[in-house]
Amino acid sequence: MTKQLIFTIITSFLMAGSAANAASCKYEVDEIDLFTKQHLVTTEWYSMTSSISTLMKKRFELDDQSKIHVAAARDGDQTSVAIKIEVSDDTGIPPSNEDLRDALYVAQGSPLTITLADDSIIELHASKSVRGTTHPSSSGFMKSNIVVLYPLEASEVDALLNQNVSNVSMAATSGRYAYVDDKGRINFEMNRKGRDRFIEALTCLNKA
Amino acid sequence: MILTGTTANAAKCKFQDGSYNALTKVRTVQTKWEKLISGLGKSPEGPHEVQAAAVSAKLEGSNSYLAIRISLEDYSRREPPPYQLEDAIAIPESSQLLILMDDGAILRLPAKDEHSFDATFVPPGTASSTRFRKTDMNDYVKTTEAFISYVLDENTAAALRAQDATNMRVEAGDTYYDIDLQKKSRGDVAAAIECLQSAHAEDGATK
Repeated sequence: MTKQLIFTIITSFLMAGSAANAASCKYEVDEIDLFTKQHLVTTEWYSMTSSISTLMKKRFELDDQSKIHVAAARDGDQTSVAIKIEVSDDTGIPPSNEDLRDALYVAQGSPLTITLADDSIIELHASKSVRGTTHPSSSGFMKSNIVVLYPLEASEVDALLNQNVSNVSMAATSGRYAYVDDKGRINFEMNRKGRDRFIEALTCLNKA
Repeated sequence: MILTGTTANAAKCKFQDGSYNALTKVRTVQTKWEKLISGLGKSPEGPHEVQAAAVSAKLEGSNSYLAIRISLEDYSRREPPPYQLEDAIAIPESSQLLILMDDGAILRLPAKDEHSFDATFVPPGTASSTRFRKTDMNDYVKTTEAFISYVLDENTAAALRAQDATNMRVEAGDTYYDIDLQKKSRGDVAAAIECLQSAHAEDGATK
């Protein structure tokens, strides 16, 4: 196979992929609210976690099975990003009701720090307080998940549309579980797959 | 106090057992609950969907209220921990009931007081769980039922009687629950208020 042919195949594949992505925006919500008359849009969730690395971690029984997803949302003129995370821990001690209740909590105004590819930083703030949902899993791990909405200003939308993301850090409290570091943060280093997900979500939001 | 507008339809009215508080000398009259929607056993389509709702009108002394009952069901493979059952529906004092009328107008009724309702659950395979949902008997069924009273003044009662209601929104702090009234129930709010007015008128006539 000639280099020219290989180049053509790869280029066609990439172009077809881009076209498919552009056409394949899916929405969890796309409707006019009956009471506020505002246009409500929420994109589907975009995973920023590699499923392969998650499976590898599970296979080798590594504790870190964290997952992070992003969706973009608009309520009238207000654009936001929703962040959904799933984190896990294993203390080996049966949890009390208080342990489960306090396992993952994000207070209103808590920051979400997004580091862009050029190392500039965007800091967003949670729109309201949210308590995560926690269950002991069958394998003995505690698993918690939470969905938090962070409003964006127009300049922040532009910044997120123009660059990939390299790191996302969510401020939270986690009771007796080691979900957060000593600075009260849950950190996600973006892999190659996850870096452009903010761009995809916000691009699809703009198409609705 | 709502005295005007009783009609011949009063004959169809059904009431719950009334009560009289000798201490406060307050008489309570409440119409039977009328179903606005009934979808128990179906998974909720979104975070704001209720599976069942009903309406009733209530008279306590000279004060009138529109009472709404909403039911939420959720299904999970794991037993819900107690913290998820506490205050499953919370209605702060400043909450409102929004009612969308047939002509697009929106009426707003303030909550009588704050309310909080816990959820309960039944384990998989029990009679109570399978009664609602026959498609999957491996789920825990978590149910929350809330009864909320909203203050009904004379102008709002007149507006509610004038035409059908099509949708309702129960505000609950930083969330809300929507009720898309089934077609055959869209006149039930007006009918409940009419019945309450007829009861009040009869009460006045017998004194």
